[in-house]
Amino acid sequence: MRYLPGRAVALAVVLALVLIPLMPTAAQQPRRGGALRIAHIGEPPTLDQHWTTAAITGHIMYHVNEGLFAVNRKFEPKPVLVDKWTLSPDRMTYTFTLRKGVKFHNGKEMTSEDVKASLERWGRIATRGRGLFANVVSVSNPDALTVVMKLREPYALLPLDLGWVGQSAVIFPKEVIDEAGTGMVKRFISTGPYRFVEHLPDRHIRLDRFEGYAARTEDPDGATGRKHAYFDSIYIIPVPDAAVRIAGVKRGEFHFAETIPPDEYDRLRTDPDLVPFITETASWLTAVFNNRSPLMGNRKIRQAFQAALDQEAVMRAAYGNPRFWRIDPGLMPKEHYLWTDAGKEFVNQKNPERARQLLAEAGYKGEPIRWITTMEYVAYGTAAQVVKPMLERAGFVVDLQVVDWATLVARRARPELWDVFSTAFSFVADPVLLLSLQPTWPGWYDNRDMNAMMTLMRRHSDPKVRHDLWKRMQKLWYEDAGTIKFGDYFVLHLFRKELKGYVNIPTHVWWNSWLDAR
Amino acid sequence: MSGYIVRRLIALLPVLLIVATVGFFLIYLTPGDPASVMLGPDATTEDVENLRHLMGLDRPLIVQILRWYGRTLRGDLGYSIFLQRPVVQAIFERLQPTVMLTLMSLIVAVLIGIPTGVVAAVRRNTWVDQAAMGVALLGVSMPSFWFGLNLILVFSVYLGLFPVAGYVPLAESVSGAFRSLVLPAVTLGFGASALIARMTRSSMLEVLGQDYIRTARAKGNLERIVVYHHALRNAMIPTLTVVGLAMGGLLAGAIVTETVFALPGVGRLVISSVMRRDYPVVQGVLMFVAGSYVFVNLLIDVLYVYLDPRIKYA
Repeated sequence: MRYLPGRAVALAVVLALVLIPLMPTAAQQPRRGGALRIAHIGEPPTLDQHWTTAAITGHIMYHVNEGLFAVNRKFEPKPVLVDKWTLSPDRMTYTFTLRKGVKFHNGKEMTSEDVKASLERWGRIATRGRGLFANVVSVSNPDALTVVMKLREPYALLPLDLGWVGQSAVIFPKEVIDEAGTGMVKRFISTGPYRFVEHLPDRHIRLDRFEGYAARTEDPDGATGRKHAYFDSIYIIPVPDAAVRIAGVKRGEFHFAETIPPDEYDRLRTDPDLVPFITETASWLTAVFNNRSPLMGNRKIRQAFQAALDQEAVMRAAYGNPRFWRIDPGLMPKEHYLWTDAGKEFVNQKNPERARQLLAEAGYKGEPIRWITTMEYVAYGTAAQVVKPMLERAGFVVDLQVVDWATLVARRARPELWDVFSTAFSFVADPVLLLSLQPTWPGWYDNRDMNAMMTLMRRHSDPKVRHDLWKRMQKLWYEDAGTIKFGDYFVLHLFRKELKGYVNIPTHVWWNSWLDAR
Repeated sequence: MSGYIVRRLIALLPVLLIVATVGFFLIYLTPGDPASVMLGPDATTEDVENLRHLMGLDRPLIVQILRWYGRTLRGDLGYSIFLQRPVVQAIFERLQPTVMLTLMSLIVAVLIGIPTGVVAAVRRNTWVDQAAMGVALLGVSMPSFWFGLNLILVFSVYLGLFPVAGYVPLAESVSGAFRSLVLPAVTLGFGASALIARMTRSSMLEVLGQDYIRTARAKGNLERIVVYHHALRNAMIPTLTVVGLAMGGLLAGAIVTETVFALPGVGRLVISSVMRRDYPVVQGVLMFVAGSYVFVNLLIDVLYVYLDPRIKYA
C-alpha cells in the first residue's frame, strides 16, 4: 500500500509522456464556425469563371465552383468531379466516369448532361477553352455518369488543361448554362464546398458553407483531395487602399489582406498577431515586344533591347527587398520539373556596347520605341522608368506612354499603336499554357520552329522527352529575344495568426482553413 | 417666387444636356473599353473583339450617342455592364452612404468653420486669429487621402474607437452607420471647414465695420448679442454661398474619401466605373451629380430670401 501512490504517479507520468504527444493540441484541431473576412484589392469584373481570365474572379469562385480536375501542390492534375478516367491506346479519346451522388448547390444531382454543357460552353467562350476545343472533335455523354471527349490529334495535357485555375473549366448545371444563352451566367451554382449567397458591389461577396457538399476521401493536396468548409461564411470585401487593408487586419476587422506592398514586410514581421505570407509560386515581370511592328519585328533590335538591360537594378527598383524577387532564366519557375537555365547567357547582360552594335547592324535610325506602361500596377511603371535610361545609353529613343490599365489593355490589341508594353505573367503549370509563346496573344510571337516544337510538346507526356524539348524551346526563345523576362517576383499577403491551415498553391485555398479561438 | 423656381428648374434641362453630351464624348473617346477589362489580362485580341461586338461597342459613335439620348429621354439611364442591374438602381443603392457622408461632413464643416471664422474676426490681428487661419490653411492644403489614413491609424488602429473601413447600412444598425462615417466625415468636413472659416471671417469683418453695429453697441447691447444677432446673421449670405459650393466639393471629395474608407457610395461607384469603363454608369452618375449640384444651389438661392428679406426674385 505504501508504494501504491508512488507507482500510480510513475505510471501516470509514463502514460502522460507516451500519450500527450499523440493527442492533438487545441491549436492543431480545426475549429468549425465563424466568418472569414478577406480584404481584397477590388471588385471582380464578373463572377462567371468561364468568361474572364481575371485572377480575382478565380480567387473567389474557386470556392464555389469545381471542375473535373484540379491540380495538387506539384501542379499535377488530379480528379475532382471525375471518379475514374481512361485514355484510348491511340491517345485520342478520353473517357471520364463521374462521381456518383455529387450535388449542385440547388440540390440537383450532377450528371453528364451538365458536364457536357459546361465543357462545350467553356470551349466556346474561354480563351484557353477555345484553344483546346480547336482540337476536340466531339463531347458526348453515353450515360448519366460518362463523358467522352474525342480529339483530332493526341494531347497529353487535357486533364491539366481542364483542371487549371485560370479561367477554369468549372461545371455548372445545364439549366444555368441554357438560361445564360450567349451572355454570362445569372446564377452562380456549382458543386463546391461553399455556395454563393450574395454580391453587394463595393460592400462584399458572401459565400456560405454548402451543407450538402460531397467531399472526396483523399488527403488534401493543393486544390485536390478532401475539402472541409470550416467557416459558416466567407466575406470577400473590396478595400482598394493597401494601407487600409493592413490597418484592418491589424485591428482584427479582416483576417486576410490580399497583396500588400513588399516594403511593409519588415515592419509587419515584428507584430506577433500577424503573419506576412510570401507566395510560393513565382510570377514574372515582363516587357512584351510587338513582333508585328516594324521596329520590334526586327530580331536585332529585340536583341539590342535584351543586351542593354541590368535586370537586377530593374527588379530592385520594382520590388525592393530581395526576398520578393530573383533573377532566373527559367521561363518555368525553379520549383517546376521542367525548369532549365538554357539561354542564361542572354540574361542580365548589362552590355550597352553590344546593344549599340546590334542597333547599328539592324539599321536603327532613332525611331522612337513606343512603350505603353501603367502606374496602376506600380512595379510595371517603375520597371519601365528604370529601363528607359538603360536603353537610351545604348542609343534607343524611348517614348514612354504611361496610361491606366484599361487603356493599356485596349491599345495592346492594336499592333499599329505600340512597340513594347509592360505586364506580368502569373505562374502556369506547363509551357503549353505560357501566353508569351502563343502567336494569338498580343505580342504575336510567331516562330516556325517554336510552333513546331510546341506541337510536339502538346503531344508528348514523357517527362524526359518534354524536358529536352523545353530546353531547346527556351534557348530559342532567348536567342530570338521573343519577350523580356526581367525576373521572378513573389507576392506578399497578410493574415492574422488565428487563421490556420491556409494554403496558397495553386491559388488561395481557404477551404480546409479555420479560425482558432483567440 | 414659385415662378422663379419653375424657371430655374427648366433651365436645368440644357445644363443636363450639355453635361450629358460632353460626358459622353469624354468617356467614349478615352481609350480602353469594358470588354477587355471584363475578359481579364490573358484574353486574346479576337476574344475582346467578339465581346465588343456583342456589347455593341463596335458601332459608330453617332449611333451609340443617338441610342443613348433616345433611352435617356424615356427616363431610362441604361444598364450597367458590370453590375448587371439598371443604372438608376445602381445609383440608388449607393445613395445612402454618400448622402449621409455629405450631410455629416457638412455638419462637421459648419460646426468647425463658422465658429472659427467668427472668433478669428472678433479677435482679428491677434494670435487667436492667426492660429485659426493657420488651421484653416492646413485644412485646405492637406490631401484628404493622407489625412484620412492618419485618422485611421490613430482612431482605429491605436485607439480602436472606430472601424477601419466599410459601411453598415442604417437598416442594419443606426449607431453602426454613424460610427462607420465619423472618420470619413471628419476627413471631408475638415477640408471644407477651412473655406467656410475664411469666408465667415472676411464677411464678419466687413459687417463688424458697419454703422448699425456701432449703433447696436451704442444701445448698450452685450457684445455677444452684437456679434451673434446683429453681425453673424448679416454675414451669413456669402458664407451660405460657400456652403453651397462646398456641397459640390464634398461630392467630388467623396470619390477619394469613399475609396480610402472603402465606403460603397456614389463616389466609389464613379471611380470603379471609370476604371473599368462602365459607360452607362459613368454617364448616369454624371447626370445625377450635375443635377444635384444645380439643385443644391437653387436651394441656397431660395434660402437667401429667408436670411435677407430685401432679396426678391421677380
